[in-house]
Amino acid sequence: MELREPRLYAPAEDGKGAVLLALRDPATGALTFPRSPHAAPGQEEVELDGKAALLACITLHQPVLPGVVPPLVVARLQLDAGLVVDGVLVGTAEPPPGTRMRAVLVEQDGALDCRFQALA
Amino acid sequence: MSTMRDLRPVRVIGIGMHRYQFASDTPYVTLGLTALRAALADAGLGWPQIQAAMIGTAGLGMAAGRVMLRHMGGTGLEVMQVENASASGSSAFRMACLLVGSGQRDIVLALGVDKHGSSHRAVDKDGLPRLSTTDHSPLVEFALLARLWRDRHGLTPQDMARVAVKNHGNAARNPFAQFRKPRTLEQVLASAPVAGDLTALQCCPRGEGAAAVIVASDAAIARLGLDQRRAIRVLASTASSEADVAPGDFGMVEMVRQSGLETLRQAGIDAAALDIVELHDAFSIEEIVYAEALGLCPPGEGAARLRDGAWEIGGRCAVNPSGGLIGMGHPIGPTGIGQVAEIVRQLRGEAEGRQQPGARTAMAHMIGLGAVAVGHVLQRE
Repeated sequence: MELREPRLYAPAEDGKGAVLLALRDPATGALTFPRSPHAAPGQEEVELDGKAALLACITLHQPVLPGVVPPLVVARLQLDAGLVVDGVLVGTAEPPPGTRMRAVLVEQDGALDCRFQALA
Repeated sequence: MSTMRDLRPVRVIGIGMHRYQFASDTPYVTLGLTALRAALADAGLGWPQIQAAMIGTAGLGMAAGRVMLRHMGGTGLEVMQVENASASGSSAFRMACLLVGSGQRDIVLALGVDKHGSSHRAVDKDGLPRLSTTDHSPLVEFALLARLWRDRHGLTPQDMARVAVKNHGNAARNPFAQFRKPRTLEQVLASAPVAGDLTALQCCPRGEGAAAVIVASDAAIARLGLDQRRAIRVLASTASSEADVAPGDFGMVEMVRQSGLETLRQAGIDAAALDIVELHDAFSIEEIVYAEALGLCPPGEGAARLRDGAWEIGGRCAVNPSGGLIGMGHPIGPTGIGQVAEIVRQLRGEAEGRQQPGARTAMAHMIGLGAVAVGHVLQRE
């Protein structure tokens, strides 16, 4: 099955999750996600482990944006690599802050989408 | 760098509004010219005396000001359209103040006008994919902020709902407000859940409207024999944008804190001197977080100030006596200028039915998507 957005993520080598596709500045180590064509020259492409800590999450109760089918749980997550990203969680539960999460690929309307779920 | 106090004095001499309302068939020209004619009448001026017009709008499209102002008659005045998201009106007002303060012009109009439905956000056209379709959604951003404030400071849904109760109550006393109905805590909490702990009555409505203010130099006020006692001095005008912050911190909050500090510094006052603050409460959590960031109370104590009435009309510092974005409305282009009009009305002592007693000094503070912050301090001398 195809990835919905192959510019953002790829299957992890362990087959259990997803990695996020980022850029790293070799001089400073600064990360850029998503990979931006407007980033400073000389950036190297890196794959970030999809493991993260949940900072906060909320449930969207209304179809407030295109593509949002409520209830949808949206989270702010700090990747182990340091970056903070917003992502959609698997399911409708709201895990508490600090919960260990990982990026996974789930089928959504005929393509694989990136979601986050609590590590077992 | 110079500040407003280094320039020649700038005073607001006229204010006018078209009530904020839900989307209608009313042409934007009608909205804008209603506010403009009210501002001219309030100032005692004629249209030919306006030397420049700064038009704040985010959704109308190119040349909105010229299309509207041609109905007033062609005078050859300078016209500029200013777009800065929610801070479009505030930025137009800042441009008007700088034109007068610098001596380029003597009498300048700042007018905000908008209709909902036609704005397009550049962030949706940057060509970059997103992990979540909710990325850059203000609603989601502030619902997450509310959750973080709950975890860090013990903020409860009731605390946030008190913002909406206060601001709907203020709006009910404001003839220019989109909502005119007081709401109880129970009604706010029981309204439809939208995102996280935010319910429908804690979110600003979409709508349309217009606001106009006219600023002038002392020389113009004297030359035209205008009433100096009703002229309100602009003490400070600042503008900034979001800076990088540590991962997990909210750049918007730090931006407001820095913007507030700089605006107060340029005004030569501290937060304790503020009798009124009009700020960006598109969502209830924002009023608490921004009031704390602007220095009205220490971080984490905003909920207590709502409970003890410090931010009510008649309290230590009335926050959003207009009803704010939640109650008065947030038509985007007019919003920041509407804040200034409310403050001028208050500082003149003309805010019938919602007057902050003895008000002398006030701050208008807006943020805009992206993010930007624009702050002004006004004072009755």
